[in-house]
Amino acid sequence: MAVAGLFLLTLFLASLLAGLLPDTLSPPDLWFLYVAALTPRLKPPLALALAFGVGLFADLAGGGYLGLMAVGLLMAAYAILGLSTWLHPEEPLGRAAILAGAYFAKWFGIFLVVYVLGLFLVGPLDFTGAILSEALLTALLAPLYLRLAEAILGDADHAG
Amino acid sequence: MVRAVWLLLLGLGVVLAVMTARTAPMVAPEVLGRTAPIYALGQRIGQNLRAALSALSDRRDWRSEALRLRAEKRALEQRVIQLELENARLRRVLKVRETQAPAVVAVAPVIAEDPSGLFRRLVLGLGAEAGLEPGMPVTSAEGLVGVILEVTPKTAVVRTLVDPESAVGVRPEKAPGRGIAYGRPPDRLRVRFPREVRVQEGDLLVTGAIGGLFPEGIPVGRVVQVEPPGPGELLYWAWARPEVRFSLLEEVVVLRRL
Repeated sequence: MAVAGLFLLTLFLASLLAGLLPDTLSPPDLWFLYVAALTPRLKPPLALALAFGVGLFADLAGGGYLGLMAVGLLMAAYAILGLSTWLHPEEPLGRAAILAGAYFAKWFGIFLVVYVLGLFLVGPLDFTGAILSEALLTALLAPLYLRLAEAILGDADHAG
Repeated sequence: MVRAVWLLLLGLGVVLAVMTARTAPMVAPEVLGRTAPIYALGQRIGQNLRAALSALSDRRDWRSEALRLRAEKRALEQRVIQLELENARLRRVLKVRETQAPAVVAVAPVIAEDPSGLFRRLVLGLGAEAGLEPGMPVTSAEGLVGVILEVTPKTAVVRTLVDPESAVGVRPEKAPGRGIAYGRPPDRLRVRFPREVRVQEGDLLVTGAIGGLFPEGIPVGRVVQVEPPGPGELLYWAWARPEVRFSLLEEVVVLRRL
């Protein structure tokens, strides 16, 4: 129930920020933060499936190619699971490093699908501005969103 | 186990992407239609918030613009006042130059008055550095003010007509004869005339002593009362009010000493 509530809230916030921010800025990736909030709280296979499903929904809701965000968020969730065994997610610095790694993994997954689909009409570097803007806003919003998620879902250590 | 699920989903995602590359845009509207109300609500709120912030920002711009224009208006008004004062001052100087004497040394501001009430003296904001010297006549557009008594490098003290130590040679503007006007504070002149000089109330007295301190023809005062001479008296007295209102003086014209 809490997961669904956070999902609806994320959808609302994503649309709110899309309307609020000027067109020159890419809005923060709240679906990525949603996955980042849920992944430590679920069993790993379920977390991966949820990330894939959320990505699929984001692809459909965005009217884009199916699989782009699905693979991207899947990669992000997998990176979170992997990095959490190497780093210390209970520490702020470790959490930030895990999030940063997951974010890179997300874009790696997206570009992987773009490459497979042969959609490289423009090079990845042409997206640098959009990616930087999205990354910056996502990083700025991450502490707030993750605290909100914690309030709704409960502490990560006791969830699952 | 986890890696297997990951690989499975990764493969599924890639295959899905490849297989639906052409049809995805047609599937999306189905989902969009269901999520549209939430999305539209959020986006509308966001757009309204942005419009509100933009309006606030514009309003702040208007406010700063209004403040700037107001400050500019104030500066211009002050400039107009300055120019009007300057114009009036120059007109007065011109009038003095035309009507009294061509020998203007300086136009000096009045910066203080003798507060005692015993003497009627003014302090000017210019002194020896501006060329002022004791004995120089001081006038205004309205008429004679007095004479400089002493100077410092930056100030000068003027003894006005109504000072008790002041004595100015005068004559009626439209009649022959001469007299001497003595100062009587706070605002009167007691004028002594020879018996044969005829003056009456309302006559204007102007400077007119031969070899005096002041150029001839400068208005001094207007007769307000005449005390007729007694039998056998060779002199008689009249009272006059100076043409200049000393308390209203803001600046005076200093003339070259004769």
